[in-house]
Amino acid sequence: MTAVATLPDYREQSPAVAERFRKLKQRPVVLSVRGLGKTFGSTEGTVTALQGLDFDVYRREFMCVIGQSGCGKSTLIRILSGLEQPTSGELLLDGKVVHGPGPDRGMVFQSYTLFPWLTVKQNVMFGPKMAGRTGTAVEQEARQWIEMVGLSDFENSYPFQLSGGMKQRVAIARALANQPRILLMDEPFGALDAQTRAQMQEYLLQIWKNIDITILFITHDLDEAVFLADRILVLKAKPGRIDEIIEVPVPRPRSLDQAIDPEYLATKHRINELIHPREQRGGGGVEIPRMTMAGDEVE
Amino acid sequence: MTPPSRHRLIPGWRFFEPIGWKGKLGLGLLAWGSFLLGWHLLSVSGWANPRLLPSPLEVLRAMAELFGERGFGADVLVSLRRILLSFGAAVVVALPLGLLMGAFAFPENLLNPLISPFRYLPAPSFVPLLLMWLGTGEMQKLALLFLGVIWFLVTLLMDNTRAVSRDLVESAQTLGANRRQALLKVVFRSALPTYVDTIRQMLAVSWTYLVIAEIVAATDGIGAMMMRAKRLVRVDEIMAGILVIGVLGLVSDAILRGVRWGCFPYARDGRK
Repeated sequence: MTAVATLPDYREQSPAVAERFRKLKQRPVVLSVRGLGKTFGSTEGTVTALQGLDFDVYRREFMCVIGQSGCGKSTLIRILSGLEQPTSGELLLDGKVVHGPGPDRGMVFQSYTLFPWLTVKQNVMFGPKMAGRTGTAVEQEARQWIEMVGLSDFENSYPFQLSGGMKQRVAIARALANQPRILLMDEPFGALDAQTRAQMQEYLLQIWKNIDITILFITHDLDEAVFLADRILVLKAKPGRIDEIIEVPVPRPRSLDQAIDPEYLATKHRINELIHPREQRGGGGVEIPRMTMAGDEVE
Repeated sequence: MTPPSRHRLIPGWRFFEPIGWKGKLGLGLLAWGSFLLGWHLLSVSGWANPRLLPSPLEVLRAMAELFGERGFGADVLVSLRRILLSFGAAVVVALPLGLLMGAFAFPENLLNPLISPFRYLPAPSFVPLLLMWLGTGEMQKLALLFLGVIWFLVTLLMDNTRAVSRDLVESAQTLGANRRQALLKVVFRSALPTYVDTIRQMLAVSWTYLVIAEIVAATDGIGAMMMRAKRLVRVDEIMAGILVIGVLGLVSDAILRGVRWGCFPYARDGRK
Protein backbone atom coordinates (compact mmCIF):
# COMPACT_ATOMS: atom_id res chain seq x y z
CA MET A 1 0.00 0.00 0.00
CA THR A 2 2.97 2.34 0.47
CA ALA A 3 3.70 2.40 -3.27
CA VAL A 4 0.18 3.67 -3.84
CA ALA A 5 0.81 6.81 -1.81
CA THR A 6 3.39 7.97 -4.33
CA LEU A 7 1.05 7.56 -7.32
CA PRO A 8 -0.38 10.71 -8.83
CA ASP A 9 -4.14 11.17 -8.80
CA TYR A 10 -5.41 10.26 -12.24
CA ARG A 11 -7.49 13.46 -12.20
CA GLU A 12 -4.39 15.66 -12.23
CA GLN A 13 -4.29 15.71 -16.02
CA SER A 14 -1.26 16.95 -17.87
CA PRO A 15 -2.02 19.69 -20.43
CA ALA A 16 -1.68 17.13 -23.23
CA VAL A 17 -4.19 14.77 -21.63
CA ALA A 18 -6.63 17.60 -20.85
CA GLU A 19 -6.41 18.70 -24.47
CA ARG A 20 -7.08 15.15 -25.66
CA PHE A 21 -10.31 14.89 -23.70
CA ARG A 22 -11.39 18.44 -24.61
CA LYS A 23 -11.10 17.42 -28.27
CA LEU A 24 -12.92 14.13 -27.65
CA LYS A 25 -15.90 15.95 -26.18
CA GLN A 26 -16.08 18.28 -29.16
CA ARG A 27 -16.85 15.38 -31.43
CA PRO A 28 -20.49 14.61 -32.30
CA VAL A 29 -22.38 12.49 -29.77
CA VAL A 30 -23.20 9.08 -31.21
CA LEU A 31 -25.02 7.52 -28.30
CA SER A 32 -26.81 9.52 -25.69
CA VAL A 33 -28.35 7.96 -22.60
CA ARG A 34 -30.90 10.13 -20.78
CA GLY A 35 -32.29 9.31 -17.33
CA LEU A 36 -32.18 5.60 -18.08
CA GLY A 37 -33.73 3.32 -15.47
CA LYS A 38 -34.81 -0.31 -15.31
CA THR A 39 -36.81 -2.10 -12.65
CA PHE A 40 -37.61 -5.79 -12.73
CA GLY A 41 -40.86 -6.86 -11.15
CA SER A 42 -41.20 -10.23 -9.47
CA THR A 43 -43.53 -11.82 -6.94
CA GLU A 44 -41.15 -10.87 -4.12
CA GLY A 45 -41.24 -7.21 -5.09
CA THR A 46 -39.39 -5.04 -7.54
CA VAL A 47 -35.65 -4.75 -8.04
CA THR A 48 -34.12 -1.58 -9.42
CA ALA A 49 -31.33 -2.71 -11.73
CA LEU A 50 -30.48 0.70 -13.10
CA GLN A 51 -31.39 4.19 -11.94
CA GLY A 52 -31.00 7.59 -13.55
CA LEU A 53 -28.13 6.89 -15.95
CA ASP A 54 -26.96 9.90 -17.97
CA PHE A 55 -23.98 9.78 -20.27
CA ASP A 56 -22.83 10.44 -23.82
CA VAL A 57 -20.54 8.42 -26.04
CA TYR A 58 -18.68 10.46 -28.64
CA ARG A 59 -17.86 9.49 -32.18
CA ARG A 60 -14.94 7.01 -32.40
CA GLU A 61 -14.69 6.92 -28.64
CA PHE A 62 -13.79 3.68 -26.90
CA MET A 63 -15.79 3.56 -23.70
CA CYS A 64 -15.57 0.76 -21.15
CA VAL A 65 -18.20 0.03 -18.53
CA ILE A 66 -16.98 -1.63 -15.37
CA GLY A 67 -18.52 -2.54 -12.05
CA GLN A 68 -19.04 -5.32 -9.54
CA SER A 69 -21.22 -8.23 -10.53
CA GLY A 70 -24.84 -7.27 -10.06
CA CYS A 71 -24.28 -3.58 -10.83
CA GLY A 72 -26.41 -3.81 -13.97
CA LYS A 73 -23.66 -3.81 -16.63
CA SER A 74 -25.35 -6.50 -18.65
CA THR A 75 -28.79 -4.94 -18.22
CA LEU A 76 -27.35 -1.68 -19.50
CA ILE A 77 -25.88 -3.18 -22.65
CA ARG A 78 -29.01 -5.23 -23.28
CA ILE A 79 -31.05 -2.03 -23.15
CA LEU A 80 -28.58 -0.25 -25.43
CA SER A 81 -28.81 -3.10 -27.94
CA GLY A 82 -32.60 -2.98 -27.76
CA LEU A 83 -32.99 -6.53 -26.43
CA GLU A 84 -34.63 -5.07 -23.31
CA GLN A 85 -36.81 -2.06 -22.83
CA PRO A 86 -35.93 0.55 -20.20
CA THR A 87 -38.62 1.38 -17.64
CA SER A 88 -37.65 5.04 -17.69
CA GLY A 89 -35.50 7.40 -19.69
CA GLU A 90 -34.51 7.19 -23.29
CA LEU A 91 -31.80 6.25 -25.69
CA LEU A 92 -30.68 8.46 -28.57
CA LEU A 93 -28.56 7.34 -31.47
CA ASP A 94 -27.27 10.30 -33.49
CA GLY A 95 -29.89 12.36 -31.71
CA LYS A 96 -32.82 10.11 -32.63
CA VAL A 97 -34.72 7.97 -30.13
CA VAL A 98 -34.33 4.24 -30.76
CA HIS A 99 -36.54 1.35 -29.69
CA GLY A 100 -35.83 -2.34 -30.08
CA PRO A 101 -32.83 -4.04 -31.66
CA GLY A 102 -31.50 -2.88 -35.01
CA PRO A 103 -28.54 -3.16 -37.35
CA ASP A 104 -27.43 0.38 -36.38
CA ARG A 105 -26.10 -1.06 -33.11
CA GLY A 106 -23.82 -4.06 -33.48
CA MET A 107 -23.52 -6.47 -30.58
CA VAL A 108 -20.86 -9.00 -29.63
CA PHE A 109 -21.89 -11.39 -26.86
CA GLN A 110 -19.73 -13.14 -24.29
CA SER A 111 -21.00 -16.56 -25.36
CA TYR A 112 -20.18 -17.80 -28.83
CA THR A 113 -23.13 -16.86 -31.00
CA LEU A 114 -22.00 -17.67 -34.52
CA PHE A 115 -24.64 -19.58 -36.46
CA PRO A 116 -23.21 -23.12 -36.49
CA TRP A 117 -24.84 -24.04 -39.82
CA LEU A 118 -23.21 -21.15 -41.66
CA THR A 119 -19.60 -20.79 -42.76
CA VAL A 120 -17.51 -17.86 -41.57
CA LYS A 121 -18.35 -15.91 -44.73
CA GLN A 122 -22.05 -16.73 -44.54
CA ASN A 123 -22.08 -15.64 -40.90
CA VAL A 124 -20.55 -12.30 -41.82
CA MET A 125 -23.08 -11.91 -44.66
CA PHE A 126 -26.03 -12.62 -42.35
CA GLY A 127 -26.77 -8.98 -41.48
CA PRO A 128 -26.69 -7.64 -45.07
CA LYS A 129 -28.80 -10.62 -46.13
CA MET A 130 -31.45 -9.80 -43.54
CA ALA A 131 -31.56 -6.32 -45.03
CA GLY A 132 -32.25 -7.89 -48.41
CA ARG A 133 -28.77 -7.29 -49.81
CA THR A 134 -27.24 -10.14 -51.78
CA GLY A 135 -24.83 -10.63 -54.64
CA THR A 136 -21.13 -10.41 -55.30
CA ALA A 137 -20.76 -6.91 -53.82
CA VAL A 138 -21.95 -8.16 -50.43
CA GLU A 139 -19.68 -11.16 -50.71
CA GLN A 140 -16.75 -8.92 -51.54
CA GLU A 141 -17.48 -6.75 -48.52
CA ALA A 142 -17.74 -9.80 -46.29
CA ARG A 143 -14.31 -10.92 -47.50
CA GLN A 144 -12.89 -7.54 -46.54
CA TRP A 145 -14.29 -7.77 -43.01
CA ILE A 146 -12.92 -11.28 -42.68
CA GLU A 147 -9.55 -10.06 -43.86
CA MET A 148 -9.67 -7.28 -41.31
CA VAL A 149 -9.97 -9.80 -38.47
CA GLY A 150 -7.21 -11.90 -40.06
CA LEU A 151 -9.28 -14.97 -40.96
CA SER A 152 -9.11 -15.00 -44.76
CA ASP A 153 -7.89 -18.59 -44.74
CA PHE A 154 -10.99 -19.63 -42.84
CA GLU A 155 -13.80 -17.95 -44.80
CA ASN A 156 -15.28 -21.31 -45.76
CA SER A 157 -14.78 -22.96 -42.36
CA TYR A 158 -17.62 -23.69 -39.98
CA PRO A 159 -17.62 -22.28 -36.45
CA PHE A 160 -16.93 -25.69 -34.89
CA GLN A 161 -13.60 -25.68 -36.71
CA LEU A 162 -12.49 -22.42 -35.06
CA SER A 163 -10.93 -21.67 -31.67
CA GLY A 164 -12.71 -19.45 -29.17
CA GLY A 165 -10.67 -16.38 -30.08
CA MET A 166 -11.30 -16.92 -33.80
CA LYS A 167 -15.04 -17.27 -33.16
CA GLN A 168 -15.09 -13.92 -31.39
CA ARG A 169 -13.15 -12.32 -34.23
CA VAL A 170 -15.78 -13.57 -36.68
CA ALA A 171 -18.48 -12.25 -34.34
CA ILE A 172 -16.81 -8.82 -34.49
CA ALA A 173 -16.59 -8.98 -38.29
CA ARG A 174 -20.24 -10.06 -38.47
CA ALA A 175 -21.36 -7.13 -36.33
CA LEU A 176 -19.23 -4.66 -38.30
CA ALA A 177 -20.53 -5.92 -41.66
CA ASN A 178 -23.79 -4.08 -40.90
CA GLN A 179 -21.74 -0.88 -40.60
CA PRO A 180 -23.33 -0.02 -37.26
CA ARG A 181 -23.02 3.40 -35.64
CA ILE A 182 -21.79 1.80 -32.43
CA LEU A 183 -20.37 -1.59 -31.50
CA LEU A 184 -21.66 -2.93 -28.19
CA MET A 185 -19.49 -5.60 -26.61
CA ASP A 186 -20.65 -7.58 -23.58
CA GLU A 187 -17.52 -9.07 -21.97
CA PRO A 188 -16.60 -10.52 -25.37
CA PHE A 189 -13.27 -11.96 -24.23
CA GLY A 190 -14.53 -13.21 -20.88
CA ALA A 191 -14.50 -16.86 -21.92
CA LEU A 192 -11.00 -16.77 -23.40
CA ASP A 193 -7.73 -17.74 -21.76
CA ALA A 194 -5.38 -14.96 -20.63
CA GLN A 195 -3.00 -15.06 -23.63
CA THR A 196 -5.75 -15.14 -26.23
CA ARG A 197 -7.53 -12.37 -24.40
CA ALA A 198 -4.46 -10.10 -24.50
CA GLN A 199 -4.10 -10.81 -28.22
CA MET A 200 -7.76 -10.06 -28.84
CA GLN A 201 -7.48 -6.74 -27.00
CA GLU A 202 -4.66 -5.65 -29.31
CA TYR A 203 -6.60 -6.85 -32.36
CA LEU A 204 -9.62 -4.89 -31.25
CA LEU A 205 -7.63 -1.68 -30.78
CA GLN A 206 -6.19 -2.09 -34.26
CA ILE A 207 -9.61 -2.57 -35.84
CA TRP A 208 -10.98 0.39 -33.89
CA LYS A 209 -8.10 2.53 -35.11
CA ASN A 210 -8.62 1.58 -38.74
CA ILE A 211 -12.35 2.11 -39.13
CA ASP A 212 -14.87 4.73 -38.14
CA ILE A 213 -16.51 2.94 -35.23
CA THR A 214 -17.55 3.88 -31.71
CA ILE A 215 -17.22 1.13 -29.11
CA LEU A 216 -18.96 0.54 -25.80
CA PHE A 217 -17.29 -2.37 -24.06
CA ILE A 218 -18.44 -4.10 -20.88
CA THR A 219 -15.85 -5.81 -18.71
CA HIS A 220 -15.13 -6.74 -15.14
CA ASP A 221 -11.37 -6.79 -15.72
CA LEU A 222 -9.59 -3.62 -14.52
CA ASP A 223 -6.56 -4.11 -16.78
CA GLU A 224 -8.76 -4.71 -19.81
CA ALA A 225 -10.67 -1.49 -19.14
CA VAL A 226 -7.57 0.65 -18.64
CA PHE A 227 -5.81 -0.89 -21.63
CA LEU A 228 -8.71 -0.34 -24.03
CA ALA A 229 -10.69 2.69 -22.99
CA ASP A 230 -10.68 6.42 -23.59
CA ARG A 231 -13.12 6.75 -20.74
CA ILE A 232 -14.31 4.23 -18.19
CA LEU A 233 -17.84 4.36 -16.83
CA VAL A 234 -17.75 2.92 -13.32
CA LEU A 235 -21.10 1.58 -12.12
CA LYS A 236 -22.17 1.21 -8.52
CA ALA A 237 -24.55 -1.56 -7.50
CA LYS A 238 -27.96 -1.58 -5.78
CA PRO A 239 -29.36 0.25 -7.58
CA GLY A 240 -27.06 0.37 -10.60
CA ARG A 241 -25.96 3.96 -11.15
CA ILE A 242 -22.95 5.89 -12.37
CA ASP A 243 -20.22 6.17 -9.75
CA GLU A 244 -17.62 8.01 -11.78
CA ILE A 245 -16.56 8.49 -15.38
CA ILE A 246 -12.80 8.06 -15.50
CA GLU A 247 -10.78 9.73 -18.25
CA VAL A 248 -7.87 7.37 -18.85
CA PRO A 249 -4.68 9.45 -19.14
CA VAL A 250 -2.57 6.62 -20.61
CA PRO A 251 -1.41 7.78 -24.07
CA ARG A 252 -2.09 5.88 -27.28
CA PRO A 253 -0.98 3.76 -29.03
CA ARG A 254 -1.32 1.47 -26.06
CA SER A 255 0.99 -1.44 -25.38
CA LEU A 256 1.24 -3.97 -22.62
CA ASP A 257 4.52 -2.31 -21.51
CA GLN A 258 2.49 0.63 -20.22
CA ALA A 259 1.05 -1.54 -17.47
CA ILE A 260 3.75 -0.26 -15.10
CA ASP A 261 3.45 3.44 -16.01
CA PRO A 262 2.35 5.69 -13.12
CA GLU A 263 -0.75 6.98 -14.91
CA TYR A 264 -1.79 3.41 -15.76
CA LEU A 265 -1.36 2.31 -12.15
CA ALA A 266 -3.07 5.41 -10.81
CA THR A 267 -6.12 4.81 -13.01
CA LYS A 268 -6.28 1.16 -12.09
CA HIS A 269 -5.91 2.00 -8.43
CA ARG A 270 -8.76 4.49 -8.62
CA ILE A 271 -11.14 1.97 -10.22
CA ASN A 272 -10.10 -0.59 -7.67
CA GLU A 273 -10.97 1.85 -4.88
CA LEU A 274 -14.34 2.51 -6.45
CA ILE A 275 -15.43 -1.04 -7.09
CA HIS A 276 -13.78 -2.68 -4.09
CA PRO A 277 -14.18 -0.13 -1.26
CA ARG A 278 -11.64 -0.52 1.55
CA GLU A 279 -14.19 -1.79 4.08
CA GLN A 280 -15.04 -4.71 1.80
CA ARG A 281 -11.49 -5.92 1.36
CA GLY A 282 -9.42 -8.40 3.33
CA GLY A 283 -11.26 -11.69 3.29
CA GLY A 284 -14.59 -10.01 3.81
CA GLY A 285 -14.48 -10.69 7.57
CA VAL A 286 -14.93 -14.45 7.19
CA GLU A 287 -13.27 -16.33 10.03
CA ILE A 288 -11.44 -19.38 8.67
CA PRO A 289 -10.70 -22.03 11.32
CA ARG A 290 -7.19 -23.43 11.49
CA MET A 291 -7.23 -27.04 10.36
CA THR A 292 -3.56 -28.03 10.54
CA MET A 293 -1.12 -28.64 13.34
CA ALA A 294 1.89 -28.67 11.04
CA GLY A 295 4.88 -26.62 12.16
CA ASP A 296 5.80 -24.76 8.98
CA GLU A 297 4.13 -21.39 9.25
CA VAL A 298 2.99 -19.42 6.24
CA GLU A 299 2.70 -15.68 6.14
CA MET B 1 3.37 -46.07 -21.00
CA THR B 2 1.23 -49.07 -20.10
CA PRO B 3 -0.54 -49.11 -16.77
CA PRO B 4 0.09 -52.09 -14.46
CA SER B 5 -1.64 -55.14 -15.88
CA ARG B 6 -4.03 -55.66 -12.99
CA HIS B 7 -5.49 -52.22 -13.68
CA ARG B 8 -6.14 -53.02 -17.32
CA LEU B 9 -9.68 -53.68 -18.35
CA ILE B 10 -11.15 -55.42 -21.36
CA PRO B 11 -11.96 -52.71 -23.96
CA GLY B 12 -15.55 -51.58 -23.57
CA TRP B 13 -15.51 -51.67 -19.77
CA ARG B 14 -13.91 -48.30 -19.09
CA PHE B 15 -16.37 -45.64 -17.98
CA PHE B 16 -18.01 -43.88 -20.94
CA GLU B 17 -15.20 -44.90 -23.30
CA PRO B 18 -16.35 -45.77 -26.83
CA ILE B 19 -15.27 -48.90 -28.62
CA GLY B 20 -13.78 -49.05 -32.16
CA TRP B 21 -15.79 -50.05 -35.24
CA LYS B 22 -14.36 -53.57 -35.15
CA GLY B 23 -15.57 -53.99 -31.59
CA LYS B 24 -18.97 -52.60 -32.52
CA LEU B 25 -19.37 -54.96 -35.46
CA GLY B 26 -18.04 -57.95 -33.53
CA LEU B 27 -20.36 -57.43 -30.57
CA GLY B 28 -23.36 -56.84 -32.82
CA LEU B 29 -22.67 -60.02 -34.73
CA LEU B 30 -22.11 -61.89 -31.48
CA ALA B 31 -25.50 -60.82 -30.16
CA TRP B 32 -27.34 -61.70 -33.38
CA GLY B 33 -25.42 -64.94 -33.85
CA SER B 34 -26.24 -66.12 -30.33
CA PHE B 35 -29.87 -65.12 -30.71
CA LEU B 36 -30.30 -66.94 -34.01
CA LEU B 37 -28.35 -69.99 -32.83
CA GLY B 38 -30.40 -70.20 -29.60
CA TRP B 39 -33.61 -69.91 -31.61
CA HIS B 40 -32.45 -72.54 -34.09
CA LEU B 41 -31.46 -74.98 -31.36
CA LEU B 42 -34.71 -74.41 -29.49
CA SER B 43 -36.63 -75.24 -32.62
CA VAL B 44 -34.71 -78.25 -33.97
CA SER B 45 -34.08 -79.88 -30.58
CA GLY B 46 -37.80 -80.43 -30.15
CA TRP B 47 -37.86 -78.45 -26.92
CA ALA B 48 -40.41 -76.15 -28.43
CA ASN B 49 -43.16 -77.23 -30.78
CA PRO B 50 -41.59 -76.63 -34.25
CA ARG B 51 -45.06 -75.78 -35.63
CA LEU B 52 -45.29 -72.83 -33.19
CA LEU B 53 -41.58 -72.02 -33.29
CA PRO B 54 -40.15 -72.69 -36.75
CA SER B 55 -36.40 -72.36 -37.11
CA PRO B 56 -34.86 -69.20 -38.60
CA LEU B 57 -34.15 -71.09 -41.81
CA GLU B 58 -37.78 -72.02 -42.25
CA VAL B 59 -38.75 -68.41 -41.69
CA LEU B 60 -36.36 -67.39 -44.46
CA ARG B 61 -37.80 -70.09 -46.70
CA ALA B 62 -41.32 -68.82 -45.97
CA MET B 63 -40.20 -65.29 -46.79
CA ALA B 64 -38.75 -66.39 -50.11
CA GLU B 65 -41.99 -68.18 -50.92
CA LEU B 66 -44.06 -65.14 -49.92
CA PHE B 67 -42.10 -62.82 -52.13
CA GLY B 68 -41.52 -65.27 -54.94
CA GLU B 69 -44.90 -66.97 -55.36
CA ARG B 70 -47.51 -65.14 -53.34
CA GLY B 71 -46.99 -61.54 -54.40
CA PHE B 72 -46.03 -60.34 -50.93
CA GLY B 73 -44.08 -57.50 -52.54
CA ALA B 74 -47.37 -55.76 -53.34
CA ASP B 75 -48.43 -56.02 -49.69
CA VAL B 76 -45.13 -54.51 -48.59
CA LEU B 77 -45.60 -51.61 -51.00
CA VAL B 78 -49.12 -51.00 -49.68
CA SER B 79 -47.80 -50.87 -46.12
CA LEU B 80 -44.92 -48.65 -47.10
CA ARG B 81 -47.32 -46.28 -48.83
CA ARG B 82 -49.53 -46.14 -45.72
CA ILE B 83 -46.57 -45.28 -43.52
CA LEU B 84 -45.25 -42.62 -45.89
CA LEU B 85 -48.62 -40.93 -46.41
CA SER B 86 -49.74 -40.94 -42.77
CA PHE B 87 -46.36 -40.05 -41.34
CA GLY B 88 -45.75 -37.41 -43.98
CA ALA B 89 -49.09 -35.81 -43.13
CA ALA B 90 -48.24 -35.94 -39.42
CA VAL B 91 -44.91 -34.19 -40.00
CA VAL B 92 -46.53 -31.54 -42.19
CA VAL B 93 -49.05 -30.77 -39.45
CA ALA B 94 -46.69 -31.11 -36.49
CA LEU B 95 -43.74 -29.13 -37.77
CA PRO B 96 -45.35 -25.66 -37.93
CA LEU B 97 -47.20 -26.33 -34.66
CA GLY B 98 -44.01 -27.48 -32.91
CA LEU B 99 -42.12 -24.47 -34.24
CA LEU B 100 -44.71 -21.90 -33.15
CA MET B 101 -45.48 -23.57 -29.80
CA GLY B 102 -41.78 -23.85 -28.96
CA ALA B 103 -41.00 -20.28 -29.92
CA PHE B 104 -44.00 -18.42 -28.54
CA ALA B 105 -45.89 -18.71 -25.26
CA PHE B 106 -49.27 -17.82 -26.78
CA PRO B 107 -49.68 -20.81 -29.11
CA GLU B 108 -47.99 -23.05 -26.56
CA ASN B 109 -50.41 -22.22 -23.77
CA LEU B 110 -53.36 -22.29 -26.13
CA LEU B 111 -52.64 -25.65 -27.75
CA ASN B 112 -50.51 -27.64 -25.34
CA PRO B 113 -53.29 -28.27 -22.77
CA LEU B 114 -55.33 -29.65 -25.66
CA ILE B 115 -52.65 -31.76 -27.33
CA SER B 116 -50.72 -33.04 -24.35
CA PRO B 117 -53.46 -35.26 -22.83
CA PHE B 118 -54.00 -37.03 -26.14
CA ARG B 119 -50.56 -38.58 -25.79
CA TYR B 120 -51.96 -40.76 -23.03
CA LEU B 121 -54.80 -42.14 -25.12
CA PRO B 122 -53.69 -45.29 -26.95
CA ALA B 123 -54.27 -44.88 -30.67
CA PRO B 124 -55.86 -48.35 -31.02
CA SER B 125 -58.68 -47.21 -28.74
CA PHE B 126 -59.78 -44.93 -31.60
CA VAL B 127 -60.28 -47.89 -33.95
CA PRO B 128 -64.02 -48.33 -33.25
CA LEU B 129 -64.60 -44.60 -33.74
CA LEU B 130 -62.56 -44.49 -36.91
CA LEU B 131 -64.45 -47.49 -38.30
CA MET B 132 -67.73 -45.69 -37.75
CA TRP B 133 -66.53 -42.35 -39.06
CA LEU B 134 -64.38 -43.43 -41.95
CA GLY B 135 -65.56 -46.95 -42.73
CA THR B 136 -63.20 -49.80 -43.50
CA GLY B 137 -61.29 -48.14 -46.31
CA GLU B 138 -57.82 -46.72 -46.68
CA MET B 139 -58.61 -43.48 -44.81
CA GLN B 140 -59.31 -45.38 -41.61
CA LYS B 141 -55.87 -46.98 -41.67
CA LEU B 142 -54.11 -43.75 -42.50
CA ALA B 143 -56.02 -41.94 -39.74
CA LEU B 144 -55.02 -44.52 -37.15
CA LEU B 145 -51.34 -44.31 -38.13
CA PHE B 146 -51.61 -40.50 -38.05
CA LEU B 147 -53.21 -40.49 -34.59
CA GLY B 148 -50.54 -42.85 -33.33
CA VAL B 149 -47.76 -40.33 -33.77
CA ILE B 150 -49.16 -36.81 -34.12
CA TRP B 151 -49.45 -35.92 -30.41
CA PHE B 152 -45.95 -37.03 -29.54
CA LEU B 153 -44.57 -35.49 -32.67
CA VAL B 154 -46.00 -32.05 -31.83
CA THR B 155 -44.78 -32.05 -28.23
CA LEU B 156 -41.33 -33.38 -29.08
CA LEU B 157 -40.84 -30.90 -31.92
CA MET B 158 -41.97 -28.17 -29.54
CA ASP B 159 -39.29 -29.25 -27.06
CA ASN B 160 -36.70 -29.24 -29.88
CA THR B 161 -37.69 -25.69 -30.74
CA ARG B 162 -37.54 -24.59 -27.13
CA ALA B 163 -33.97 -25.91 -26.84
CA VAL B 164 -32.70 -23.43 -29.46
CA SER B 165 -30.10 -21.10 -27.99
CA ARG B 166 -31.67 -17.79 -27.00
CA ASP B 167 -28.34 -16.08 -27.70
CA LEU B 168 -28.54 -17.07 -31.36
CA VAL B 169 -31.97 -15.50 -31.70
CA GLU B 170 -30.83 -12.34 -29.93
CA SER B 171 -27.73 -12.16 -32.14
CA ALA B 172 -29.93 -12.37 -35.20
CA GLN B 173 -32.14 -9.59 -33.87
CA THR B 174 -29.18 -7.30 -33.21
CA LEU B 175 -28.03 -8.08 -36.77
CA GLY B 176 -31.30 -6.72 -38.08
CA ALA B 177 -33.44 -9.85 -38.46
CA ASN B 178 -37.15 -9.20 -38.10
CA ARG B 179 -39.42 -11.63 -36.23
CA ARG B 180 -40.23 -13.69 -39.29
CA GLN B 181 -36.56 -13.93 -40.28
CA ALA B 182 -35.53 -14.79 -36.73
CA LEU B 183 -38.16 -17.54 -36.61
CA LEU B 184 -37.40 -19.13 -39.96
CA LYS B 185 -33.72 -18.38 -40.56
CA VAL B 186 -32.56 -18.93 -37.01
CA VAL B 187 -35.02 -20.79 -34.75
CA PHE B 188 -36.20 -23.26 -37.40
CA ARG B 189 -32.79 -23.63 -39.00
CA SER B 190 -31.10 -24.08 -35.66
CA ALA B 191 -33.53 -26.77 -34.51
CA LEU B 192 -33.55 -28.62 -37.84
CA PRO B 193 -31.02 -31.35 -36.92
CA THR B 194 -32.93 -32.13 -33.73
CA TYR B 195 -36.20 -32.16 -35.70
CA VAL B 196 -34.70 -34.87 -37.91
CA ASP B 197 -33.74 -36.87 -34.81
CA THR B 198 -37.28 -36.60 -33.46
CA ILE B 199 -38.81 -37.51 -36.80
CA ARG B 200 -36.55 -40.56 -37.03
CA GLN B 201 -37.58 -41.76 -33.59
CA MET B 202 -41.28 -41.19 -34.21
CA LEU B 203 -41.07 -42.99 -37.52
CA ALA B 204 -40.09 -46.07 -35.54
CA VAL B 205 -43.27 -45.64 -33.48
CA SER B 206 -45.28 -45.32 -36.68
CA TRP B 207 -43.98 -48.72 -37.84
CA THR B 208 -45.11 -50.26 -34.57
CA TYR B 209 -48.69 -49.13 -35.27
CA LEU B 210 -48.68 -50.60 -38.75
CA VAL B 211 -49.84 -54.09 -37.80
CA ILE B 212 -52.60 -52.71 -35.58
CA ALA B 213 -53.85 -50.59 -38.46
CA GLU B 214 -53.78 -53.59 -40.80
CA ILE B 215 -55.37 -56.11 -38.45
CA VAL B 216 -58.83 -54.56 -38.64
CA ALA B 217 -60.76 -54.81 -41.88
CA ALA B 218 -57.70 -54.96 -44.08
CA THR B 219 -57.22 -57.15 -47.12
CA ASP B 220 -53.75 -56.00 -48.10
CA GLY B 221 -50.58 -54.94 -46.38
CA ILE B 222 -48.02 -56.76 -44.24
CA GLY B 223 -50.37 -56.89 -41.24
CA ALA B 224 -53.23 -58.37 -43.27
CA MET B 225 -50.94 -61.09 -44.58
CA MET B 226 -49.93 -61.91 -41.00
CA MET B 227 -53.57 -62.17 -39.90
CA ARG B 228 -54.29 -64.56 -42.78
CA ALA B 229 -51.26 -66.62 -41.81
CA LYS B 230 -52.54 -66.76 -38.21
CA ARG B 231 -55.78 -68.37 -39.37
CA LEU B 232 -53.76 -71.06 -41.13
CA VAL B 233 -51.30 -71.37 -38.22
CA ARG B 234 -48.42 -70.45 -40.49
CA VAL B 235 -46.08 -69.18 -37.79
CA ASP B 236 -43.19 -69.07 -40.28
CA GLU B 237 -45.10 -66.55 -42.38
CA ILE B 238 -46.04 -64.45 -39.36
CA MET B 239 -42.39 -64.33 -38.38
CA ALA B 240 -41.40 -63.47 -41.93
CA GLY B 241 -43.81 -60.52 -41.73
CA ILE B 242 -42.29 -59.39 -38.44
CA LEU B 243 -38.84 -59.67 -39.97
CA VAL B 244 -39.83 -57.57 -42.99
CA ILE B 245 -41.26 -54.84 -40.75
CA GLY B 246 -38.08 -54.88 -38.70
CA VAL B 247 -35.87 -54.60 -41.75
CA LEU B 248 -37.98 -51.82 -43.28
CA GLY B 249 -37.86 -49.97 -39.95
CA LEU B 250 -34.10 -50.32 -39.78
CA VAL B 251 -33.68 -49.14 -43.36
CA SER B 252 -35.86 -46.06 -42.82
CA ASP B 253 -33.92 -45.33 -39.63
CA ALA B 254 -30.62 -45.64 -41.50
CA ILE B 255 -31.85 -43.32 -44.26
CA LEU B 256 -32.78 -40.62 -41.77
CA ARG B 257 -29.49 -41.09 -39.93
CA GLY B 258 -27.77 -40.61 -43.27
CA VAL B 259 -29.76 -37.45 -43.95
CA ARG B 260 -28.82 -36.13 -40.50
CA TRP B 261 -25.15 -36.96 -41.05
CA GLY B 262 -24.97 -35.62 -44.59
CA CYS B 263 -27.05 -32.47 -44.27
CA PHE B 264 -25.77 -31.26 -40.91
CA PRO B 265 -22.01 -31.91 -40.89
CA TYR B 266 -21.57 -29.18 -38.28
CA ALA B 267 -23.89 -30.95 -35.85
CA ARG B 268 -22.35 -34.40 -35.90
CA ASP B 269 -21.55 -36.00 -32.56
CA GLY B 270 -18.97 -34.10 -30.56
CA ARG B 271 -18.91 -30.96 -32.71
CA LYS B 272 -19.45 -27.66 -30.97
